[in-house]
Amino acid sequence: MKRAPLSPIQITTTLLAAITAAISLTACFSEPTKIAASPTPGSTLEPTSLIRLPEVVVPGKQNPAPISPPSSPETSSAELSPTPSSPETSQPVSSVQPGDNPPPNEADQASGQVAPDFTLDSVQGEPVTLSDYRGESYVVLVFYRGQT
Amino acid sequence: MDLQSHYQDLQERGAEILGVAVHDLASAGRVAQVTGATFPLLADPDHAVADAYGVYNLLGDGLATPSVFIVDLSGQIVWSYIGQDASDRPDVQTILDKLPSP
Repeated sequence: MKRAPLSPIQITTTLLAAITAAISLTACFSEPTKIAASPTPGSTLEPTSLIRLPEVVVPGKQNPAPISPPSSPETSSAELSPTPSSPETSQPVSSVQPGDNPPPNEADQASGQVAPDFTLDSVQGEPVTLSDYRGESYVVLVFYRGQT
Repeated sequence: MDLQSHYQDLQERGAEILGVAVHDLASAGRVAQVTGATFPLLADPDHAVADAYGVYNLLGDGLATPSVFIVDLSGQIVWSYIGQDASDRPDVQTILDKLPSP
């Protein structure tokens, strides 16, 4: 019995199937180049593709101890105790002394001093005491040159 | 310095004038006559008071240097003027300004 000849389509389909089968068989026996290598037993996989993130230190978690000020004796003493003033710098205010500059007719040279008390005979006849005027009136004490 | 002319002004400000002369009482009397002073003029013949106030012989003439001291009610010196020569005296108005207002 004679077989019917194949149509062109049937021929093409058959050829394609054969080619595909051939390729499959070839891929099984060749080395995989595009597929990622799977680790073999005993070897380590180096994560070359991993991005190393910088270590982030979270305060409070990494350092549970509270931050304390430096306990150096120099700083603590400076904070607690006042700086002693050197006697050289703390000079009292001095008043003008007789004989020093400025000239003697500078006013207020004797201001603040207690007026020396005295009792002298007066031309008017009665002795006069300076302290008698204390609490009563101001005194304008005038020293005359003495020439007549 | 004419204190006599302003004696009333000084009294109105609650002040009294005391004049001190380094002389005996008789000489001090002559000073009063010359100046016409009616305020107390005192004699300091041994210049003890002039020494106490530091005004004796400052000019080297054995006499007191013309000077003025204002003493307040508590007995403290509140102002002073010591002359540099025989004619160096403060202005009367300056003295009035140092006293309490009338």
